[in-house]
Amino acid sequence: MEFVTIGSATHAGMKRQENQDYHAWHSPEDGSKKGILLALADGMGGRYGGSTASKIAVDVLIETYYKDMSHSISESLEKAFQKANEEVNARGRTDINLAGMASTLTAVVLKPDGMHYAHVGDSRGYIIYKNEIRQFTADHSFVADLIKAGQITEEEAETHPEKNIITRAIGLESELRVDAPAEPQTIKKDQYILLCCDGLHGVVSNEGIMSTVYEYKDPELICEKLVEKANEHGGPDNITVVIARVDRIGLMSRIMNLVR
Amino acid sequence: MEQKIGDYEIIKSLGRGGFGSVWKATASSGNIVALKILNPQVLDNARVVKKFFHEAMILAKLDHPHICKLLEFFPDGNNYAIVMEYIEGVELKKLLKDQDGQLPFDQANKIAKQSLEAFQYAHENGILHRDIKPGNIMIGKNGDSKIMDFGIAKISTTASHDTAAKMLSVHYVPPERFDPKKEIDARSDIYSLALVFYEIFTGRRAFMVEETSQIMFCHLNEIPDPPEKYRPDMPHEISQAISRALEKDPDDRFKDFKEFSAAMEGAMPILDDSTQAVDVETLKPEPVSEVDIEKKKKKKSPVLMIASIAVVVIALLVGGYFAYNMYFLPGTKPGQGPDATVTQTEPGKPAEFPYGKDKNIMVVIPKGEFEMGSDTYSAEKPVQKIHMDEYYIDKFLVTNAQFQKFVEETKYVTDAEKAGGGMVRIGRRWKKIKGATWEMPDGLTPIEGREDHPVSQVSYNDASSYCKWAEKDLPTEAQWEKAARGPDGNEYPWGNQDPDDTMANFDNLIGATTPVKYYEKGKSTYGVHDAAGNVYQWCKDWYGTGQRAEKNPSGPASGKEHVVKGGSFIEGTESLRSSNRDRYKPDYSSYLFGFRCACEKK
Repeated sequence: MEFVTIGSATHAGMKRQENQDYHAWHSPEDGSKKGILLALADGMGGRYGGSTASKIAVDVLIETYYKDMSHSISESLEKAFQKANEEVNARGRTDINLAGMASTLTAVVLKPDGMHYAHVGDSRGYIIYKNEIRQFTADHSFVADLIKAGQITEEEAETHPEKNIITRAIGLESELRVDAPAEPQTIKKDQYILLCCDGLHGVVSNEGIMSTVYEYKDPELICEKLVEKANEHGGPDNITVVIARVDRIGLMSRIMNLVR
Repeated sequence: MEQKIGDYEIIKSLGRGGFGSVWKATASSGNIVALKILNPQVLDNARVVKKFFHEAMILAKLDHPHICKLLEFFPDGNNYAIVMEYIEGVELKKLLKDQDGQLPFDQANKIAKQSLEAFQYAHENGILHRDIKPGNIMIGKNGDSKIMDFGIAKISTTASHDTAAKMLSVHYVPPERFDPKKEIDARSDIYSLALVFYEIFTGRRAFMVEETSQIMFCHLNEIPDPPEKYRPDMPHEISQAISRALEKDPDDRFKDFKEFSAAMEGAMPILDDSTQAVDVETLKPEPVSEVDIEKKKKKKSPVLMIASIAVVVIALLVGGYFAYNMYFLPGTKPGQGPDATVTQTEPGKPAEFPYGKDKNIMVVIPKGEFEMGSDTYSAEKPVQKIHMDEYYIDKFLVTNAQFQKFVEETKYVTDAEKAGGGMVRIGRRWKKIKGATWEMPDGLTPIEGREDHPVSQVSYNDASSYCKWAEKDLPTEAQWEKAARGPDGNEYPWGNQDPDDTMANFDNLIGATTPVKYYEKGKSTYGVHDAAGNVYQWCKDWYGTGQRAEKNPSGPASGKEHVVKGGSFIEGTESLRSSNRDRYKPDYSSYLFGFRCACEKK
């Protein structure tokens, strides 16, 4: 039996014809060394390339991650992100129909003893536990940097005309800086890990997300309900949600949680 | 790869930018062109497309040897293609990367000159660039520059903001770009181009940070080092022009590329013509030598500056307290009346006594000759033996506390208060700052806690009124100069050795005024303090040049400006020389100006 229950949902939203988001997860049969990898990508750009970019990003990520022989999970994630970036860039250079495509990419590796993540762009990862919701990824966006630079407040960012400009993504440049912390995060029983694109987090509030989680409890059902909610709010963009609920944890995590 | 866009046969990818990808292609005529496919998000609604067509028509009219020509613009399915002149060469970005250091001066200068011509031409035709960066400047095989992507950024900024694949390189973005309420204009392009110039001349970016938020912070707050710091052999004019173009406030930059070009060629002085309150004649750019630049500390943002000043002020207050005690222990007692008899404090030393309504300590300057003027600058010539009768001069500058007493008693209103503010130097520019008065000389920091600092942000008129109240007078230039340099024509009050930070408050070492009794080591032969540095001091004379009267000279009978002497906490060593002089109108008030009083022998 898996130690997590995973669910997901995706929808083009009410305004877009094409869904350029992509997501996937992989749970290797040969045990837990590399863990379960969840990935979500929000594609954009190119003549027809947005959906291609997100698919390449996720596929290359998963393939490279499980092939990589690095000792640490964060190193493997970093390498897999770089490979995904190379691939999307290369495809954009050879096919004019794909030129200019790019994608956000957010990935989580879950193991019974903790979790790792890697991330570029403005999709988000949240941890929901005991009626608290916490974003563990940092947005690589123009407004997030303006806040850090002390130029605007978080409130001002919400209505900023340029709030959708991102500053890092797979496929934008040959050089990519990836957030991939070496330190694992502890996990707890009954904790939810939620990945989503801005079609959800820009539309449904954190409180709305959390109340849906506790109302429906089952990851698959929560994801469907969150997509519905986003569409009820106008569904301005593609919506994708991936949720993992931790059903049991390893001995290490139990000890660590006691210590903390 | 066999692909076609419109009538154009794609040959190969040339790379990509924030707004799309660029391809080498063959037109049906056989001509080689560069084709830019704009990202669909950039142009995803009818309004934007219409706007872009309009803009493209103007762009297509731009015809300049240093601008990459736009040939055609057409829609293709959901996308839009811009056809441009194909330039064989290398992006400046790559050139800088490969060079890994400074470009040869002649090459850098050529790029700068040609870019300036191109931008001036485009602006005269009403086109802003909005995305100037080394990646948008092509260097052709013959070494000539071509500016690419004129106006394209504008189309993007007006596009809708659904998930946008817009990559913004913030390295070359002007600070006003971070405030959506602010307009972008020619001065924004000037800022970005100056950052490119900074890089081609110095081989490094003006701000050496990589994190986007840090870059933003630097654009908003950090004043970059002058380029010549990293290339001492470059012309000073170019360094200065780049620094001015990098001012945070667009009002402080050049107003157009013509002005920028002129300054780069040294054809015009770096003056602030945006301040009407100042007579341009009186605003000389401070002479900045290489030594000065090395000595100058890194300029800080206003916030940091205030914080550091606060620390210094506290330190000085402590220091000032001890200096005060030390001074009053021997000999004279403060508080003696105007009729106090002259007391000899130490044998062989000039007599000192408190005198006048402000009871400021005055030094007796014995009658006799002294050497006035110097041959260094024409305004200081000639060197002359001058006879002076005995007179008294304030040992210390008039302090904030003393001026406060005068204002309380007389309800005097200073010129800066009447005008709503006085002059303050922001970065390298002089500006009239609202609310800058003697009680808040820089318009930001109140004088509380600095009672023993010299009063500043006072005009000649203010200084003169104070003296009258105190039953004294402003010193003539000769009285001032003799008290400062002694009878033998010393270069500085303390002698002929170059100043250091134990003798005077100068060269922005502290960046603010210091207590009037702080620099014991810097006092003159006659014991006069702060005759060099801290604040400039008004003299009674109208400004004139040439031969002086041989006895008790007092300047021309009339004039427009009065003499100031002594340098200030901002100026370098040159201005600390006792013969140094400057001049300003009687109502000119600056946070660098204060005064001391003098009077004839009673």
